[in-house]
Order: sequence, then C-alpha cells, then structure tokens
Amino acid sequence: MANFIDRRLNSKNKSTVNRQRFLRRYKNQIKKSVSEAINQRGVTDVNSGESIIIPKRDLSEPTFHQGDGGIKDRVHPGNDQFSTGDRIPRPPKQQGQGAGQGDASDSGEGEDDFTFSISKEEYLNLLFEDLELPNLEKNQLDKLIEYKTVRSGFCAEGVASNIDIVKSLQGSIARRIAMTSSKRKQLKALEEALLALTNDKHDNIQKKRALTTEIETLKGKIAKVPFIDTFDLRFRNYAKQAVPTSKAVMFCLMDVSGSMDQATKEMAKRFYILLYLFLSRTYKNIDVVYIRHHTQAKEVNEHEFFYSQETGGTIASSALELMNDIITERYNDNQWNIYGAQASDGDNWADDSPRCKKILEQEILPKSRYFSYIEITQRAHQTLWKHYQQVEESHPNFAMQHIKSVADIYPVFRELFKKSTQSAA
Amino acid sequence: MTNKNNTAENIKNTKTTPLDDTPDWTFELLEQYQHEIARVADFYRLDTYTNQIEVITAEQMMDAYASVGMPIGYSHWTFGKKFIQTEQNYKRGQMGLAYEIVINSSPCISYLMEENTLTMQALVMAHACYGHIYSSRGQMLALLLIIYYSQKTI
Repeated sequence: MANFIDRRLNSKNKSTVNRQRFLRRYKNQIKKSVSEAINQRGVTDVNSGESIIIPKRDLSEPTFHQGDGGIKDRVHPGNDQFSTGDRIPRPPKQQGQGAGQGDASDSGEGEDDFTFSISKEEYLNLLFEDLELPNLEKNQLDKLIEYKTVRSGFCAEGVASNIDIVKSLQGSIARRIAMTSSKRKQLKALEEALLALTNDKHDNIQKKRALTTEIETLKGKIAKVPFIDTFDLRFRNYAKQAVPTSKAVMFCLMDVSGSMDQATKEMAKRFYILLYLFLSRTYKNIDVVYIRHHTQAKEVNEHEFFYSQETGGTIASSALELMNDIITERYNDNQWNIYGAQASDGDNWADDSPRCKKILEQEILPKSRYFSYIEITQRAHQTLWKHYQQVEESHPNFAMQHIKSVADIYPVFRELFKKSTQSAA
Repeated sequence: MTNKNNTAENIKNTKTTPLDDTPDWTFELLEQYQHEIARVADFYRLDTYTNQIEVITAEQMMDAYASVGMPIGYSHWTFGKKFIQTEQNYKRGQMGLAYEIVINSSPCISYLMEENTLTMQALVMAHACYGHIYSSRGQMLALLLIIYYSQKTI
C-alpha cells in the first residue's frame, strides 16, 4: 500500500530561481550593502561571501486582510496589579542614563532588519556588476591562438576511423530503395500476373514459365544492388575552432620608496585584490607578478611585496623596464593576456618621468590589454602624473585614477573598469 | 520478526513482539512500520489511496514552505524571500519545521523529514498517511493540502 522514495538527493536548490529573482529585485539595496562592506573586509579574505542587510520596511508585502474593526475586550495574561480605572503614577525622573524601552539600534531601523548571507559567487557578481574588462572585444580577434576541435556535421570523404555507421547505413538504405523501386514495381506486377495464371482454370504452362524466368531475372537484378557502396559512406567531420586564451598575467608594480607608508601600501593592496578578483572571473589561470621598486626594481613574492622594509629613492622607470623584460622573457603576448597595475604616491625623480612615458608607450602598452595607474596621495600631483596624463589621452588601454582614502578604492576601481563603449572603439 | 501474515481478525489473539524502536530510522524499519500501520488501518477500515512516501531533507522542506506546500509552482521573488526567512528562523532555532506534508492526490504523496526519529516517522505515517488521507479521501475540494506545523502537532 505504500512506496518509499528517497528524494534527498534530487531537486536540491529548487529555490535557486526564486532566490535569484529575489536578489534581482533588491539589487539596489544589496549593492549598497556590498559596497559598504568592501571597505571593512579583510584584505586576504577573498573566499568568503558577505552578509547583507536589507531594511525590513523595504521588504514588506501588501496583503488583503480583515481590519481591526469593532469594539474588542481582551484579557491579557499576566496582569496581577492593575484593574480598570486604576490611575498609574508617572514614573519618577531618573538621574543619568535611563535605558528606555527596548534596545537601542545603531542603524535606526530596528533590530529585525532582514539579514542574510550571499555566496562568494553572488558577492563577486554584485561587486563587479556592470564592470567589464576593457578592450576585450577589440583585442580578442587578434589573440585567437588556441584551437579546439569540434564536430561539424558529416562529409563524404575521410579516414576509416571516422566512419559514421548510422549515417552511412541510412544512405545505403536510401540508395537501395531508389535504385530498386522500378524493378520492384515490375516484380510486383509480374507476381500478380503469375498468381492470376495459377488461379486460372487452364494450365498456361508456357506463359507461367516465361513469367517465372522473368521474375527470377528481376529478383537477381534486385539482389545485385550492393548492400553498401563507397557512395554511401559518411564520415564525421571535425573543424578547428579558435578559442580565446584563458591565461592572464597580472603585473603589480608598487613604489616602496621612503615616502610610501604602510597605510598607503594597504590601500594599494586592496586595489590589487579587487583587480585579482575581477580578473579571476574571466580567466581560469592567472599569474601574478609582483614588482617593487625604489631606485631599483626587483621581482618579489607577495609577502615581501607588501611588507618588506627595504626603502630608498624613487625611479619608477626601473619597474617598467623590469616588467617589460619579464614579458619578453616569460609571457609571450600572443599567449597571455597582460594586465598591469601600478601604484605609487606620485613621487618620482623628475628626470625619470619622460622615460616612464616612453617605455609605456613604446614597449608595454602595445603588448598589454590594460594598464592602470593609481596615485595614492593627499598632496598635489607631480611630474609622473602629468606625463601619464599625456599617455592616457593617446592610449585607450591606459587609465589612471587618484585615490585619497580607503573609501575611494572601490569607486575608483569601478571608474577604471566601468562598461564603456568609447574605450572599446 | 513480526507476525506479517496476521489478518485483522486475530490481532487480539496473537502474541506480539514489539517493533524495533531505535531512534535512527532505516528504510527497512520504515517499511516494517508502514506495514503494521497499514494493517491496523485496514482493521479500522480506513479507506486510503496508495501512499507514496518520500523522504526529504530540511532544505527541501523549506523549499516546500517557500512554495506554500505546492509540489510545483511558478517562480517568484517572494518565494525566494520566504525561503531565506524560513531558513534564517530555522537556523537560529526560532522555529521548527513541519514534521510532515501531505498532498492528497492519488497516489497520495507524503513527505517525511530525514532529521526526524523513527518514532516521529511512525507517528507521521500513522497520522498523515492513513488518518488524514482517510478523512480527506473523497473531499478533494475541502482538503487539498494539509500542513502540520510542529508547534501544533505536539
């Protein structure tokens, strides 16, 4: 009378569509919550999701229901002190801090805000929504270097290992039907005639014999049509399809001269992390190359990049030269999508800035997809900024922004990568 | 182990061995319980449809909550919201989930939650798969769907 079915394994995430619809509907509130959260997030924290708070009043749905009409008498449980008509004295004035009714809420929206967590993917999607990798379309066609083999229909010629049996036999049947149809029609007519003769009262031996030989010849002819012919053979056809390469290398260039303090480095780090997260959405394999420089540039590991104590004067071109050397040596620009991000406080030795501009324009920018420069400083811009401005005007794959405080990083990042049509043109 | 070939008449006369009552359920034990419950239901002449008993997880139960208990439905953002609310309340221990959902169709579909103990499953089977289905068979309009929330049942 009963069947047991174990449903535990199937129809997981049945609510996914509904959840997506919910996220889509409250995108504005959620995005606000996400962009506020990015500044409080730990810099190494790239794997966790984020918890989202939506004010409850934004979520209320109107419902049809009966109103509170009429006169109601209610007895509430737990009242052992008051009865109708009692006069309640005003509570005595408290000195100092009275707690008041309920707990204070720092957000001003009450304690029952709608809080929920979103996954890492959802978080990243929201974080980088309407951002895109610059120049992707424009460069993609030039950079098609990897091919994959895909099926593309059938062809009449090919090697034996690629024979498609079903298609070939379909062809064989069709050919046999086509080649024998008139003969089979004749055969049918002759057989009917023979049957008519057999049923006849007379013997008709001569006629019968003639008919029988004719039928035999026809049958022989039909049998001679080959079962399969080279004409029938069909081979699976393969074509090579170009796929854009999924390899990317990200160069992090940072000035570590005496003027860069730890706070500035932390800001730069946040920027690099955003860039890394952003690239990881598009590319499967990302190499990160860290180059730090003062008067000399050096390729270092991540920890050394952010926390090394080494310091000195500033020659920015040394880092660019090293980056160019590394590209030539290890990252062929036909196979790698090259991204560069340079962070500095703007200090540079004055004579060096024209050289930076030259290296960028002649060597690095033609090879890279995108190069961004952020200047983290509270002071006025110096020579490097001015020279880079000239580069920015002439090169669509170069962008620069100015960061003053931690709160600027995310808006600036969005500014650098926002979807724009003119940069792709 | 149990007297399977009993007919309704000689229930009282038979010596019975109690069914296994470990807290953890298995499909074999469920079958056994179901068989005995069906026998008793038959004795009381409860006329039911064939039962289709499905074991689901808490998440699937919350899915069912979000879609107001309907086995299929359209997509809507409010269901997403409802699911998140239910999930949050459940995770914080502010609410329990229904022990069972019954859909009064033929065959009649009942859901058992995997978190429940064997005793609970037996109770649900007796209560929902036989009790409810008997009382609602033939009254399709009146009782399409029954959800019992834990707070109400016990």
